[in-house]
Amino acid sequence: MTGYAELQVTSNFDFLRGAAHPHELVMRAKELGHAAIAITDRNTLAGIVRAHVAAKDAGIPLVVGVRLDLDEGASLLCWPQSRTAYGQLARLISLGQRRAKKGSCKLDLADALAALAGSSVAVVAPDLPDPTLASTLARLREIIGDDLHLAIHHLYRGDDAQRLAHFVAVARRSRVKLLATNDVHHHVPARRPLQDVLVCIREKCTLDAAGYRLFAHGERHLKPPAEMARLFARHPEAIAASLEIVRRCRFSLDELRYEYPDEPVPTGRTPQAQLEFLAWSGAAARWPDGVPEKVRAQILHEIALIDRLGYARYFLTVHDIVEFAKSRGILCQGRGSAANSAVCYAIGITAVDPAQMDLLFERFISAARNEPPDIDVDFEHERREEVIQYIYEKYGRERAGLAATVICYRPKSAIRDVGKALGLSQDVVAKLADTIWGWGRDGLDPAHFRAAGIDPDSPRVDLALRLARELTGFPRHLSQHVGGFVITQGRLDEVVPIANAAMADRTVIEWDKDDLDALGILKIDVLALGMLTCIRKALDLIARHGGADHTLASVPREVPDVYEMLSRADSIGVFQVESRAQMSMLPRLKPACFYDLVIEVAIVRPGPIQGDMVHPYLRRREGSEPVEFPSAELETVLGKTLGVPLFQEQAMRIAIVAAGFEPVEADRLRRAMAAFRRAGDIHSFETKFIGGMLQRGYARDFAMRCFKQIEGFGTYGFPESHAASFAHLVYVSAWIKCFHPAVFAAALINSQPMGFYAPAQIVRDARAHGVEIRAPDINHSDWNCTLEPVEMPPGGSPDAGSGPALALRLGLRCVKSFSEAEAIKLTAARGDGYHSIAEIKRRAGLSSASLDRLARADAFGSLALNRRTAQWQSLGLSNDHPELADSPLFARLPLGPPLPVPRLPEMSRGEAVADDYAALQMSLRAHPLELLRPFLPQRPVLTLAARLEDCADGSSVAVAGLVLVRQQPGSAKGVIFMTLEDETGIANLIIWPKTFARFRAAVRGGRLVQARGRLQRQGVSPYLVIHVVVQGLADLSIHLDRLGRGAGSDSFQPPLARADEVRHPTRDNQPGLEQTPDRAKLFPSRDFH
Amino acid sequence: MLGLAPGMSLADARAYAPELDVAFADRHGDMKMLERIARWARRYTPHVALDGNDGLMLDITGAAHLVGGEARLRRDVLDRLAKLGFAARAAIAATPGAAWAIARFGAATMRATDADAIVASDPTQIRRALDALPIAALRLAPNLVETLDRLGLRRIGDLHDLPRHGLAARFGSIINDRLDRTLGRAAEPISPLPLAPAWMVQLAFAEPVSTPEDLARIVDRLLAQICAQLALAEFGARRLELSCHRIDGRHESCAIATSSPVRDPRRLARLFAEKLTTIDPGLGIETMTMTATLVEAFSAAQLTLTPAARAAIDSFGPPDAIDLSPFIDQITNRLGADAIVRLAIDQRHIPELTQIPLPALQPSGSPASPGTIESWRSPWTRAPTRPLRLLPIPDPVEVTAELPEGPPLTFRWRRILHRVRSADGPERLAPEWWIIFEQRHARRNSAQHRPLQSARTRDYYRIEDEDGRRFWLFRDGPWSAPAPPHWFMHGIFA
Repeated sequence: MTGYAELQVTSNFDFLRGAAHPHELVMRAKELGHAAIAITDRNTLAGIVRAHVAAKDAGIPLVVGVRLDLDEGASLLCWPQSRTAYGQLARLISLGQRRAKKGSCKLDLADALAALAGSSVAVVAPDLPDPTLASTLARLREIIGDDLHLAIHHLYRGDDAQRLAHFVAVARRSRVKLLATNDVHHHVPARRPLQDVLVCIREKCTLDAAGYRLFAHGERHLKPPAEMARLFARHPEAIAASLEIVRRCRFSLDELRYEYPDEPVPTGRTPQAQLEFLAWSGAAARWPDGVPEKVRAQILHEIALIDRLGYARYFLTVHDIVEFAKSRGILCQGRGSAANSAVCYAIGITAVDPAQMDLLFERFISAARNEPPDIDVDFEHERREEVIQYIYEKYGRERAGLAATVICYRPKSAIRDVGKALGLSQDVVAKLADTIWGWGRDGLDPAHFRAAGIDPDSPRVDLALRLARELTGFPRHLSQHVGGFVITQGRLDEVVPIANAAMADRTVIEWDKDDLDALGILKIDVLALGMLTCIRKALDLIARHGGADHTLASVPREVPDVYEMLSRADSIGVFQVESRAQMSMLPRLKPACFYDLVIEVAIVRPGPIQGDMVHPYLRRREGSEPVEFPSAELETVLGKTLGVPLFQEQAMRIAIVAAGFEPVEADRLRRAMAAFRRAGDIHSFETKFIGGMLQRGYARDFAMRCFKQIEGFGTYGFPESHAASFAHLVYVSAWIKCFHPAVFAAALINSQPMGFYAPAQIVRDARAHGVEIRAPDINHSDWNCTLEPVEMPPGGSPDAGSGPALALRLGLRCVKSFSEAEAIKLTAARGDGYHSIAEIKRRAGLSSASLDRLARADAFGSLALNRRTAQWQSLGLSNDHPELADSPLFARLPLGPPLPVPRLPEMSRGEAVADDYAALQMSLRAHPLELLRPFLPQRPVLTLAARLEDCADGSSVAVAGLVLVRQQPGSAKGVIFMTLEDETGIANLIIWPKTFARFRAAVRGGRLVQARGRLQRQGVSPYLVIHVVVQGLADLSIHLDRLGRGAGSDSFQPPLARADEVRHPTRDNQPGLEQTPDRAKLFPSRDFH
Repeated sequence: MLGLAPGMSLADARAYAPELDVAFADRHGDMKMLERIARWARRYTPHVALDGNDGLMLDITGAAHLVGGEARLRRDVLDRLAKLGFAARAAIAATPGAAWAIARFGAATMRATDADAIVASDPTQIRRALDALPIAALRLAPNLVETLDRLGLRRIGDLHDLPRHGLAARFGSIINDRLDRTLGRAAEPISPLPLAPAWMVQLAFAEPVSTPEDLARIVDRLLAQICAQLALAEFGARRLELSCHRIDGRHESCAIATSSPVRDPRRLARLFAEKLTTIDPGLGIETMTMTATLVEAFSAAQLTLTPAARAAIDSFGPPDAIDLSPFIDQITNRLGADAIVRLAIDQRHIPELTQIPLPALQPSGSPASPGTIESWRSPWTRAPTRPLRLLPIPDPVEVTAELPEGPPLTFRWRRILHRVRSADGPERLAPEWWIIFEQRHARRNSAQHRPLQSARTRDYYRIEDEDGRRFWLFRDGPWSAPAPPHWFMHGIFA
């Protein structure tokens, strides 16, 4: 019996070299009857966990390995024999990667010699004679001894016999063993084309020009052991050596026992005791009137489970990080499944009161799953870096690292790279890439290409599409996870190699979150959330201006005014419910309590929308449909949501209760959906799910809907606990907006960029709520927006309970291109105020460019200088000698009388508004539409946006306005939603694909458009949802240029909301592809979807 | 209204208008055309200058009366350009700046009869014509125009009320200078661009020449002159054009090209000798011009090779390093650029595709991936891995060999049985799958004449028979195929 194990295998985690996924290689090796298989990617262990998982599934031993390419040119295959040897190897790779820039590794033989004891090693026989080979072998032999090999393989270059004879001689002289390998690059011969294409992508050449850089043949695939034995018939010992290595290298990744760090445990106490202490003292603080019995029982239950599973130190680690953030005044809040835990609430990690909710602790930790819990914590986005650096500092870079994210080829990037390699012309490649719309399974549909005028049957295009389909899903590079930290008790770099991230001061491990999950290694997600920044700033402002000193937890609960406001869809700026889809849901749902917000957050998600769960829920809520349960068992699952599944937990519970899944199986189903979709897996789940439900007597229709919903949930659904965490922030931000509109607007603007709307819309909304807005001014504004007391007219009284009325003073951050550093200089030297521009320059040391930017923003109002005069004056300062101006000698000189300012042409109102928009992205003077109305076409007669609610359902209307947002949600089947703003309000347009096809240019490019169509209204005032279904659209942008300026100047650019998908496309997140902002703004650069 | 605008990227434009037809800009060609128009405009005045990439400046001082005055001249220019198919705007003014401003920004400069397009030299009249024009008409940089625009200064007239020192303090002297020049307060010369190419010599004759001997003699003189110029500047000619103006106004020309820069008059004369026969002198030639239209840096050191270098090339260098260039130049100029080729190595794995012909005059280094002979030598045995020459069509042989990959033991070729004494191999060469894919496709759709590449993987063996003769055989396809594979002889080692 011939036995053989392939030990030199390059997977596709050796980016642009290997042409097969680790699992494909492992499965193929099993099929062929290899005794084991190793993965030896160059200087990386990035793919090893996947191979490990696949090998366990397939039942074939995996030899953990790596190929080290050394500076001297030699390549070593290393397979650690023990945990210790593995740790050394991981450290060695970390060393090489930390030395080099991202994506490369720098090691020499001396480094390797110091770290390879305890590993089996083979030197890869070089392609060309290498005079240093013997000495390399000799040096390695001193360290490695009998476990050193020379790996030989057949090149099929005609001189293999002589080449092998040479190596046999070298091996004998150096007293090392021979090892037969096949230098595998792909699992089956059919992958040769893709392998060649990868070479071309790597070498940046085309197939036709690649020449000898391609392999001459496709022999680099896994071969059956018998074939290997035949090839090395003259060297049977080289075949046998593979088995010997397998026998010795028994190290498995399962041995990486994860240990939580000890730091947060005070001496003299066990972690469990410390956690219990914190939980009970925290609970006492959370419930000063006594912990409710239900909660007490829950805490006891959780503590027992945590103790049994040994997770106490994990909770303490997260607690420590959260405490650090709190000590710095950084707002944070746990999200996700951790919100199911009463302990997490008690120790301050989450903010959802377990007394108010039905918790499903098992969703968070389950003894059955035996998986580490996953606590995700959101921090203020502006200050998250402080938290990250705290972690690095506390645990050291050898013990803490960010998880990686494996960036994979998407259809679009795949076709781009494959097209180039096949030598397709640049414009065809661009067109092909542009034609690929979705991310999903049907990304590469030939019909799309035909529609775009590309012939998918032309041989090269056809080839490109086939190969791109094959390449899609291949890993392309590693990136850093948004915030997943791995912290260990021992050295992290002995668990997994650590590399530099693209960002300075960040280090990243080579494994992603699925890998960590598979090995049971815990990570803590340190995430950034803009709304927390906003809320912290708002709470600070409220306290500073005489209000109460609130925290996230102390904001008054369940205030009816807040729900009343939300029910009117008055939610601009409110967390999560400010999108247009949410705003059209609010008046229908009319939330009246916290749990309604939880539902609101969860319902407007692709999961429930795809599963068609939204309308049944609304109908049941409105009472127009009876609340029925398909079965008694489902009543317990779906009772809270009127029989309609809306949350991830419910979908999973249906799988368990109604389709007969095991709990573990249900979770696997969810993961299969969330992770990369392997069509086969999903199909088998689907059969089982629907079959199971039919068997238990459910209607096929209901079963299919449930499954579709789980499918949607995989990527886009919210678990109830997560929705609850977010709903808490929805409530807090809505409360601030309701009672402190000026504060809310200021905090929102000060936290930009975040959320859905641009400052212009926030300001507009604040004004609509009666807030006085004051223009930025060099004598009154700080960098941030501030609040100023409003002088009360006699008899006026401040709002009850909300302190004195406040006006919003726009900050200098609203001034285009003005920097924070300059703002600090300006405010620091302000004293009693400035009296002239020259004085600002002299005292604050502002640059002329900054002064010019302030002048353009008309920020010299308090000096009685208008925009033009201020610019003329600031320009006059620009030719000063700054070194003289700054010198103390001149600073003391009294300023001479300013030179007379020549008379500059007066500015029209339109010009002023246009200039406001150019410098501030908004105008407090007037809305452009107000000025333009006389110039707009007289027919059709335009309706003011605010008057739309007076129109009857189905009536013909026409509106004109600035385009705020264009969106084409994936779940809306090509429908485009567009929002227009005129001087009275906003109008929501719905554009069907057919209409879009007719008015494509206007939809994509319009800045000011006029739309006519049919009014669609639902509900009764004030809970109205109004849309205009567009029948015709005209681009009136040219009128905008009428407002201001002559030839050669900027065209007027309304401030689009951040959510606009033409100007802020969300799809392509490739680094380095950002365009210069101005250009991209003027000409929308890509299609939206 | 497609929503398109200048400056848009092509991808964007296509997104707006998917059915868009695209033609690429030819800036070089546009510039050439503008130069041709400039040359044509010399009919009005010798002083013609290019103005940017889309305008011409004509100094018509003292020239207008020749065509009957300024108005007639302007009308003539516009009429003739219109007939040639060019839309043009034109203005005449006392200062170049004013003419520029009015031609480009004036309200009415398209029609040949516009009186406003002609402005007398009276400064007040110039001012009146210019005040209403946008400030960009002062030829200021776009960012400066934008700054002025923000100050509300949009027309030239807006500037008059501003203090000169104030403008100077803010924007430097440029605005005041431009104003002065445009209004005629300061002088501005037009500098006609030299339209003549730099490398040109010309001879005019009192008596027209027509005999071939005379022509040859004059070419010798012209070449001697131009080569002297080239030598001085350390250049050599790659292309030369001879142009002959006949007394009947027609003109004849011929050109030669060389593979490397040359400034040896005798060598160039030999190349011209063959071309001169194509020149028809008619009744006689009165002027001859020799122009070097393509030159390359060519330093003197290159002319003399050291004896050692020469010896090195002669002994084992690739053949094209030996100085065959005079010969190649000669026959290429005689037979045409594509007629003479040299062989180069193309990096491809399929043996019969590794040799490609390149035009002899094409500069070396241009094939996408030139290979070297070295890649056909085993690094382990130093022996050549393939014969120097291949059979044009592989010859079938009958072989007995060990399965599956063993070398032939005996083989019969052209009815002679050879017993194999030793063999190397196999060298496995797989077809270029992307070409195979295309071929299959082409065969499906239409009959194409492209030489077919075999879709089978070949295993090559180097064979030595018992008589010591060496052959290169291959098995066409693996044994695993349904039918047993055929064997072929592909070459014989010398």
